[in-house]
Amino acid sequence: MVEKMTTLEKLKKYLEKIKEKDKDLNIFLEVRPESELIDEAKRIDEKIKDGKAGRLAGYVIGVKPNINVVGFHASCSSKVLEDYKSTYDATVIKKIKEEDGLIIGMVNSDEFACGSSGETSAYGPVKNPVNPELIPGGSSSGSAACIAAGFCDMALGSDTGGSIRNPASHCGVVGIKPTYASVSRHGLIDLSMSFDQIGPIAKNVHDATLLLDVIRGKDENDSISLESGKLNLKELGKKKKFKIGILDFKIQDERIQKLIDEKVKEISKKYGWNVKKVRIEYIDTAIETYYPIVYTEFFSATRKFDGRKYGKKIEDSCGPEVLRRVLGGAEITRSEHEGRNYYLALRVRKLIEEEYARAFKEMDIIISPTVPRLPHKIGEKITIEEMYSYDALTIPSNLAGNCSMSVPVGKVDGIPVGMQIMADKFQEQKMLEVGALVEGFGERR
Amino acid sequence: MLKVGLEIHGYLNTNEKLFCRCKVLHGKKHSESNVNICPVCTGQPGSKPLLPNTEAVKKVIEIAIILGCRISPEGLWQRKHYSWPDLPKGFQSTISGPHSVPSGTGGKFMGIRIKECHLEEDPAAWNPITGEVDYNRSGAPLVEIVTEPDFKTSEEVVSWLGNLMSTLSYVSAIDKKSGLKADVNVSITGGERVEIKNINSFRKIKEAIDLEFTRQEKNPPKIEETRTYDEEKKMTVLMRTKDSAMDYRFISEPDLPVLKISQVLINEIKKSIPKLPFEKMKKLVTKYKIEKRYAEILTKRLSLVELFEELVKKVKPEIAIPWVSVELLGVANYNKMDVDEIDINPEHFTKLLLAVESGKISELKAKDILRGWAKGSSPPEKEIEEGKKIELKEIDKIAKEVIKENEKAVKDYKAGQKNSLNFLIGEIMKKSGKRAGFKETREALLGILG
Ligand SMILES: [Zn+2]
Repeated sequence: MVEKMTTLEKLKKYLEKIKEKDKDLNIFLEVRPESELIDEAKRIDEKIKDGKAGRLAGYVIGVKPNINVVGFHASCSSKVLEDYKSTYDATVIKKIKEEDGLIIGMVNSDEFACGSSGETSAYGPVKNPVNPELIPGGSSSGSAACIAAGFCDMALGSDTGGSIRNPASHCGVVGIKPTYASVSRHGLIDLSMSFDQIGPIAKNVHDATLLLDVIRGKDENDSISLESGKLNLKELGKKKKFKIGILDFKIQDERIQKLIDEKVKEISKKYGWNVKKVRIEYIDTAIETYYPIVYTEFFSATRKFDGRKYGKKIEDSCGPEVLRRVLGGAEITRSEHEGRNYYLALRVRKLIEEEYARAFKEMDIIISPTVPRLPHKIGEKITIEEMYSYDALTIPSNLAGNCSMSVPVGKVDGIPVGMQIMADKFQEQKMLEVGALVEGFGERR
Repeated sequence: MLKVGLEIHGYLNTNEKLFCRCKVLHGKKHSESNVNICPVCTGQPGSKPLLPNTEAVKKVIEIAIILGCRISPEGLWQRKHYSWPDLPKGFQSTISGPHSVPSGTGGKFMGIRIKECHLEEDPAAWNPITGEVDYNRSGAPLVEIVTEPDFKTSEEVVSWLGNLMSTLSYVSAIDKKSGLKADVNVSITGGERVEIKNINSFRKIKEAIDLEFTRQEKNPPKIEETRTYDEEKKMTVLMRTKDSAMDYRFISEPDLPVLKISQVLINEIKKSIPKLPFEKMKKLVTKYKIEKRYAEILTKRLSLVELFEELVKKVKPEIAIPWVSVELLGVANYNKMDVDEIDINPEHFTKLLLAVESGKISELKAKDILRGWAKGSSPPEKEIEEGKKIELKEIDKIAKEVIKENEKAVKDYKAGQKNSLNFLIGEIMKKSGKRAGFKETREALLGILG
């Protein structure tokens, strides 16, 4: 534990802050009853005193509402599931509880994780704690915002095309998208099954790493999950040499690229990193490749919300972005198309995956901005293409199935900007070590 | 000319469900609803399938081998979407569909070509009247067997089906007692194909085919149709035509790895398959020197051979044979049932026949007891005890009474009409509640009448 406060003291501080500020920020959908929280905090403090506490003892954790936690509403920030209460714990939740993490409640997000701004929630948009006029990014909007607002220590988000890294960047916190299949998805309500990963968001690389280390690993309840080794937190912050690639990709807002380039220059000079530009073929098609897959898998995943079991039929009760994806998926999967769009997209995805594999033979890390543009104002009308373009730099990592993270490195116009640090599949240790060194150069909040 | 093809769903004989660890309930006995359930088989949001039950995988391969199919080395799980109250996930997981290769293809079984057989999961059971959904069976592993339209009569369908089910349950691949569900394709020369969905007994399958044949002959179908069989009204009813055919929107399952079937596994399974019932049956016929007329009946139905085999463990073959091939079939016919639908416990039957063999009860009494088993056998001890043969002394007494009451028949007999003796024997049987032995009665009568 970094801080000296007891779990109870910290919890009380957080609850106080939530009471004071969350009416405005709209981050929490559900906070666990105070008496329950206090009892559990006391129990954890007892364990700490006895030296029997788990690795997450003393940490207060918020959860994205598409992750099942017994007794909580996993509403996915949707009216469709407003009455759905989880009957079981997701594997990641089980692991957190086993390590004495204190789950404080469910945070807001884009509806069914469909969005990049936090505005598609059926319970109102989440505000960016750094500047409440702005979107916090999405779809794990509340998970990033609850850290930025100082409402808790850590949070779980899910990342399908950037949903952890994007809001982490806009809110100035650390967010990790783990390697596909390295964290169990059992208990994560589907957006797009072949991309979805649960990951941590925290104030700093150390805390995010700790949470990641707890939740990852093979799980019988997720058939495609794979074993991944233990992370070594002690190596974080040690000076090491890395071969760094700077992604050669032109983005809209040159100020963002400039900030990233400057930081890399500065850091690499200090640590003697070898830096060169790297091109990844086909990544300009990433968005077009990504969405047919997402639409198709999301359509399939939401067939269970047929109005018979969970009260509401998704098509009747969801917002426009969710509906767009469901209807898009219904069209793509029509038998007369013989699966062409979906399987073509899967083929392009394979090409991109191979491109990255090739690149990572030559270098340890590929760096880029996390998000190519600054967040817009809440309620501001932007086109669907503009909305989707937020994820242009994060989606490739989901297509490739590798790991990536966003670390805050500074501000443009007073708005936080994250650096995306990407590594090959299951090379989290390397990625995190680079992340920790980069973090030392970030603007401390 | 009639052409019939089948899509048969049978329950694989496994302890656990296909994608979770819940127990599968076998047999006809039903427990309370929704006992064997978990987040996976009820399709709770966020639940994912576990790796497929290896027992189920092996059994499907075994079935594919028995049906003479080519085995596909890779099984690509597919999601078959449709909206129905019995389907918790809104799709069924199956190794079939346009983007997959079924587990087995291109086989032949007892003269009928097998198009494919594959592994899939059972939906839940939905009661349309109460609206209740019971998930006990949801996710149970099924094999679907699809034949080419090679059948020419309904009788052929039913006897082939009986043999298929017996063969597959004989090797413990499927659970015959849990029943089957079949979709039946019926067409006549010059007409389009009609599919009758979801028929769940041999008798109904036969009825539906016969009725559909008559209907089509009167009015040959011009477009493909899907119909359902209304048992009460004794007619098939239109569900939908080809224009409104279901689009299952098949996609590959992202939550499951490809199911690899190695040649090593296939060889292993091949070795483990016991001698098939047909080969075994031929041996039995030779071994027990079964008369041709009985052998012909037996060889049409493996279930009868199986039963016979059980019985002769304790009962003399010459006693067991007519009881299995004539008497039991008689009971089925009388009740308009298929013999495979009668649930006979071999132990019960053995006890009954041992009582016949030892002369404890009369054959007539035994037939009476057997007739009572149309809805399933029960332990016969009590009935045997109550129906025990009466003593010679008592037969004598009854015989004397009968002679007194039937002076005409006695006179006829004495005048040389031998049939009258049978009449008198029958009267004694009636009076004794079928408890008089036939031989003993005859002897008693002859003794008195001289
Ligand atoms: Zn289950």
